[in-house]
Amino acid sequence: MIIEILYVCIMENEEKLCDLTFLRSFTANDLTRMNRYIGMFLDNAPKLLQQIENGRIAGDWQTVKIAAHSLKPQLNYMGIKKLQDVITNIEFFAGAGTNFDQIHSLSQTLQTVCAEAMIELKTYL
Amino acid sequence: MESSGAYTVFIVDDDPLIHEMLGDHLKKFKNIKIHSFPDGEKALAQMSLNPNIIVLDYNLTGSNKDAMDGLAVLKKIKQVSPDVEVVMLSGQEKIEIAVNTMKFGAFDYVVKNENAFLRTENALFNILRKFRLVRDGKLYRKLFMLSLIAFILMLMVFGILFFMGYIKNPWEVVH
Repeated sequence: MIIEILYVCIMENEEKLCDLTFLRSFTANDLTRMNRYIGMFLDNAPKLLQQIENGRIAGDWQTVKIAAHSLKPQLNYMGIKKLQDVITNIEFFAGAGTNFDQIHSLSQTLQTVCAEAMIELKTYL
Repeated sequence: MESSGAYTVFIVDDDPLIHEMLGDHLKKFKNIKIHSFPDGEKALAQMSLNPNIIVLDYNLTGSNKDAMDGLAVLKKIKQVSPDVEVVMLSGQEKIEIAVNTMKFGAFDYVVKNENAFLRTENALFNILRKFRLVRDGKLYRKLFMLSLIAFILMLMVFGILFFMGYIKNPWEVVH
């Protein structure tokens, strides 16, 4: 029975994209503050994702780099660990002006995972 | 966001989430008044508010490509108000950026990771302690100067009284 419960807990945690441990600790479990920060992320992230997408399509790598740089700490605070390497690499490749093919595939991953993470975050509100 | 206090702190960052989170986190300092700005230009335009500390993002071109970057703003701040202490925030963990910001007079360099808020709090704590030490130092210097002036005046009075013959031996007055 205990093993089953532990297994379910582990599986639930594995399925979640957002690890809110930092946010809970930062706000001392203050739900109002947590919701405010999550709400701000949900407002702000789509704009930055759009900038990355527009920059990628137009080949404006400076825009891609700047938007990725702005998005990076926000993803970190929302505990979207799956995207930490993705966003770091997008920022690095866009800044260096190299690996454009990789930027395209990384950007697709970013858009897809972010969309899922945002749906997940909305359930916390 | 604003709060009341004896010291004025500017938070300059183009990320509204950082403004909110950092502003909330620094509210534990009861003696600071926080003003938030989305770019360096707006912060520089408000230098008449006499900030004591500025928490400044290194990369300020997120929402406006033409905005001044953090290093240019830092240089300008130090030109206008050399006594203002600046804590630089950056998403990049690069030693050359840290060295560069320190070279141009930043007090500390904080990487925007999960420890950023705690590290900024520590930097502010250290700056406020430095301000207190400087203020106390000035006070002690004033007290020392006043004591010195009082001692010299006393010697002069004794000297005058001695030469006018009111006092035969100054030690008689002292004892």
